[in-house]
Amino acid sequence: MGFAKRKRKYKTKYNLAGTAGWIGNLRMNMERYLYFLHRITGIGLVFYLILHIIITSSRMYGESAYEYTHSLINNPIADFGLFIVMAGLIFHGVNGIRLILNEYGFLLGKPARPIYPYRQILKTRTPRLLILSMIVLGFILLIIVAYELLMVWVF
Amino acid sequence: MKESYIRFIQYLLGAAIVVLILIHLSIFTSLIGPGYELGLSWETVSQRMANPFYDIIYTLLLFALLTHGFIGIRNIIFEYTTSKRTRVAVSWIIWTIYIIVLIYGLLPIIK
Repeated sequence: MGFAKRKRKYKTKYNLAGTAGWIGNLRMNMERYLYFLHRITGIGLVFYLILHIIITSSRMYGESAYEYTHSLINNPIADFGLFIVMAGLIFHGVNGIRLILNEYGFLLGKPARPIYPYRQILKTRTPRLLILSMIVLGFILLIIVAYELLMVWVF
Repeated sequence: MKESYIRFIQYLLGAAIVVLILIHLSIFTSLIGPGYELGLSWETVSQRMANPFYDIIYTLLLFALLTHGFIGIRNIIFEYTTSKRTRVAVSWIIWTIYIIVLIYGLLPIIK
């Protein structure tokens, strides 16, 4: 395959990536994967939010309706689902804080000229420290969630 | 509205949600609040929802979450098309679902 043809093919693919473009061609840096996860968790959380509103709305119909709806979700499988939702929520929140900080230019490290090969933002010190602290914070929150859910079913 | 304003609203609401959702979830931790099982019992929930503080928190949280979520969904759908007509149609559908879910979510808070 000639260079021009290969370049054209790559360009066409790149421009028409669609949903697959969220993952890309698997040669992306870490920020793109965070972006992908941010989207997936975001979509999932909107669906969970609507489900949550439907379930909690059973409170308007009185105590028996409330107890019945909650008996449906009072099992370990539903709580495992809740754990996954909480993991998604924690990721979305923690990564969202990072996005807000980066959007307004905080903790980005020293600026550098865009000379090839480009500096990968997460390979520089300050952003790497930021993401490391985000991971630690996320895991602490997730451990609290896991503790609360395990308290119900195990201990 | 300009897209940059929409993105600014997204960040603003995101920051608000972080604070509000920590208040919301602290109820269900036994470290601060009554805990997961007790926090969901009918008596505790009725007591909580009679408190105007939680009414305000939940109203703000519902509004912030729905606005943030539906702007996000809108942004994702808008990436698939540049056609003005489709985008207007998508906007109308999202506005309709948004209003319905917002009202349905507000009913148990008011009641």
